[in-house]
Amino acid sequence: MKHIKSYIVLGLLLVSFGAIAQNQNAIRLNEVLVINENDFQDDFGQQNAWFELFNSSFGTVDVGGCFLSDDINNLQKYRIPKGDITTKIKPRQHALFWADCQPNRGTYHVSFNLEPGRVLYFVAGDGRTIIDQITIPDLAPNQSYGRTDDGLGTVDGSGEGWEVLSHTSPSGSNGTVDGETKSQKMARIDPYGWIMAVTAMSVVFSALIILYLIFKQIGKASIRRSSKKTASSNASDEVKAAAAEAAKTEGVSGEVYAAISTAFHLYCEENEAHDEESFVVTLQHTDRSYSPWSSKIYQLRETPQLKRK
Amino acid sequence: MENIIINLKQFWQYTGFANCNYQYLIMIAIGIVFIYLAITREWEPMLLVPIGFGIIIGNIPLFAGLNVGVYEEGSVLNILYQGVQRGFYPPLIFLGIGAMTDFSALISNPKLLLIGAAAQFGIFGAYALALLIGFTPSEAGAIGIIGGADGPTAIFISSRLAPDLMGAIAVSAYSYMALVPVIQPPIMRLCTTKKERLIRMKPPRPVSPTEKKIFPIVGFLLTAFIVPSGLPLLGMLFFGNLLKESGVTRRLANTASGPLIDIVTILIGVTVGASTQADQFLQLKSVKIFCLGALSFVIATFAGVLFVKFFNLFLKEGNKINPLIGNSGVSAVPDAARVSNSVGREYDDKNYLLMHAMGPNVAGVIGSAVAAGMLLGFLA
Repeated sequence: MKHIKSYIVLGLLLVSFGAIAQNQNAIRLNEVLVINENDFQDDFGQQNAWFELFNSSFGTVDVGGCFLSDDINNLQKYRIPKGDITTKIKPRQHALFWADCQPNRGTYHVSFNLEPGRVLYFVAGDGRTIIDQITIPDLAPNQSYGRTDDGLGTVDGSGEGWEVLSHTSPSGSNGTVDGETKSQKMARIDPYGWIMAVTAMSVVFSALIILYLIFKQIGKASIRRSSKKTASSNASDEVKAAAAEAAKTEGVSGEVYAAISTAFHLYCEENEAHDEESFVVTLQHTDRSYSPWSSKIYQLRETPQLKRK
Repeated sequence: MENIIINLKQFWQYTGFANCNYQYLIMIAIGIVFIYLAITREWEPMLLVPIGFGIIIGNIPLFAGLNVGVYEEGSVLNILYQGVQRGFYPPLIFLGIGAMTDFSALISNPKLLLIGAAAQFGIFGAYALALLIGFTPSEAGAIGIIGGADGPTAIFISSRLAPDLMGAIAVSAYSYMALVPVIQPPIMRLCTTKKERLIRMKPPRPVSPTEKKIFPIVGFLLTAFIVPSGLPLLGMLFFGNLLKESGVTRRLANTASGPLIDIVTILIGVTVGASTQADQFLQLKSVKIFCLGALSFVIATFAGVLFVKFFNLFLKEGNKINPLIGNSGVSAVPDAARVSNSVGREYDDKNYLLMHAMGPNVAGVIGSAVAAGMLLGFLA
């Protein structure tokens, strides 16, 4: 029992570790600027090289404990401090790091500089797994290199999806600074709503048509199965005859049965075929101790029963 | 003595009488009308009584800073309203709906699913009309969903697409759901001939328990894979149905379809009602929303009935569908199905359409959830 508990705890730890790792996997290097002459200033009023991380997921990700480096042989060059609440990057948001080689200035100042030709790495909390990397190209002063659309593109350092950006956007979106919302986009491309109506109705119809086709087949299979069962049952001749009789009357509505029953009841009543009833109903109190703990209706499920054919 | 008078004057400033204006009185009157209709006419009393009383609660004139109003952060009403604002009441209601819905009519005759799809034209017709009169696509999507005739879905979608319009949309959706017996019959008569109204449909075949168990799983997988944005509603709807049909979770199904849905209905009704504060609600936009809501129900009914007539062109004699069940494609379970039945019996007293109409009726719930997912996917 003790071992089972340990395994469960271990399993949960592994699962939670996996979940954390999976969250960190959503972090992307998003934009870098190497020569900062009159671009963004840090809190100390200084202009240094910077790079940006982007949380591409729809959940908050804590990058505390992860590593940043520009050296493949030392992936643990700068460890992002743990316990700083600002390292929790909100969904689809950015975090800006200063590559000024002055880590004593705070969480967001790393211990290396950016240089063209070097590779910038974002490394998971295990210090070994490279989550994202990018080779820094030659850039003019105040020019940044970033993903065309936030978070999109390769993570192998090949630079696919990256380009020299027309304007820098530290802690901001690269491609959609002046972008439009989905609603604005719809207003532009579909001002009268017809495209939306046709698209959405096609999807609604498709979904329900597929459901229809599936359940048509399931229904057919079910009918076949029940007919097969009936045919293979080892019924007596009498039962078979009754079944045949019942089959003949298939299609007769319940109302007909109700009418026959009522007529039969009235006939019996007229001919006094029934016993005379007293028509007195009494409730007799029985002193039975009751507890919900022993009540069958409150049980979670019925006791399993072994059914033998 | 002077101090007492000053105190009394100050107290007077705190009262609702001192802060009252005609807008609050109009809203209170609307709340009373809702309660009156619910009690005397029995129009959706489970919804109109809580909403009506909620309207009264939300329109008691208050002075700012008392921290009791539904829009004042941290107030009790505001905390209860979070379920509407953040959208966790509607999926819980869908759980209950799933647990109390019998999909047998649909499973036995799955072609009725298509009627549920056709009636969703109401949503997109109203969407197009809303765009035409100047609403933004997000607002138009939230307004259009009224045509789904599904209160929880309307609240869920409007809380995401147009939170400012949620009060008007929710009240409009529930009001028109209550008015289904008034809105639909004239359209049904207008679109059908006497011969069509007399069509008798084949009795549904018995559905095996296995089919009933498979339905929520397959239904969920399929619809959720097609429209993942409808996951909260579709997931809870089919999960509730699985609780019912599995046969081994009777207690959970009973809770979902009984106490749980009752509690959430009370909370959603009162808070939606309370959210219709006069200053937020009495605007020209609300009037437009009410007009578009009515039109969406009309379009949905037309689409459902006309689709059945079109569908009948391809069906053999004896398999034809009575077009009077076309109106049931709008969700409004089970009122729309009841309307089909009562209109059908006006022309043939022995023609019971209720069970047939339940097919498109529950298909409408699935269809409106899928349509809601589409709106979220395109506009949220």
